[in-house]
Amino acid sequence: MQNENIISEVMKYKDKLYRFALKMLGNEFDAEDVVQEVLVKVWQKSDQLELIDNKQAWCMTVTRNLSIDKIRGRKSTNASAIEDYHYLTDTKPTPDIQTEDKESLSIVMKTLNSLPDNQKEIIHLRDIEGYTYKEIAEITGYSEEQVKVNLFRARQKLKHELRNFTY
Amino acid sequence: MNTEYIKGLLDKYFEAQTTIEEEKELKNYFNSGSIDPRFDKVAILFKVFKAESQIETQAKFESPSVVRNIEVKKEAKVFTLQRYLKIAAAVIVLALSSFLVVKYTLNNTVEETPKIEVANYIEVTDPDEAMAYTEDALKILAKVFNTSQTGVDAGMKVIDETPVIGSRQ
Repeated sequence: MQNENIISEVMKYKDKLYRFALKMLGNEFDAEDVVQEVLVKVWQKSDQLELIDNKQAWCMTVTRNLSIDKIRGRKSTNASAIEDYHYLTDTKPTPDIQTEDKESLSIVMKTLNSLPDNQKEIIHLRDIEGYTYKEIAEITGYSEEQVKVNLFRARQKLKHELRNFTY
Repeated sequence: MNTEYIKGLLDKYFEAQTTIEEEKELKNYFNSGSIDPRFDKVAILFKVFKAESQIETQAKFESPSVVRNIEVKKEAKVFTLQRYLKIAAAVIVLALSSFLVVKYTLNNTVEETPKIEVANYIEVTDPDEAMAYTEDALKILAKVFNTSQTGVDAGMKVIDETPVIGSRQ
């Protein structure tokens, strides 16, 4: 019963976990696999999870670790899978955005996808999920300073690439 | 909303100096219907963020208890197959080794090991008799030593008799 309660709590933010895995893996099926594995981990470690204050951050960390394992698995088992990964990442479906300025949208998407992995990860956690620096540090294992520095670099790159977007 | 205020927030945003609340203000502004045209292009960035934050999975996740049962069943199946293979391998090895042992036994008769002759020892209890045996043994030993001494003496004699070069006889 205790397990079921924790699972239903985690299910409330399954979409956050999915989006994070999707951002890291660039593949819907793999991202869903990872979320399923996270639920299994939560089930197995429900006793320990009771003692954790920020369960959501813990689940995000598990999602991150499992995604990294999957990427490593691809690298060790099949070199072509890495190409598939990049292919999928680069050509991820463009979000459904109401704009006639397709060119600007393309520039934004291309810039976001071209960021280094750690910056991409931090931009995602901050600008899409709205986590604090402390939470991002907890999820990623970076220090808060590293989080700030990487966020700064990512946004500077965005600013540079979008320099024609004068305002 | 004051466009200068938004511009100030944007500058802070790109310097990574904004707070969570200020970033929420920016997101709300750029996703509202009334944006100053000068921000049209930058607004796309925040629209992308919003669109990505709305991505949801359509997958129906299995209850972990079900997943675990499936995993256990899978493991059990593999274990059974391995077990059968091990039993089959053991039976083959046993049958083969039994066959080879029987075949070897029928073809080869093992020769009896010859008996080792053990030396006969004489137990002497009488001290005089023991003394006599000891004397005999010592005589044999002395004889051997004498022979050697004779050889040495003869050698020394030859050396003594050999003329030394340059000496006067």
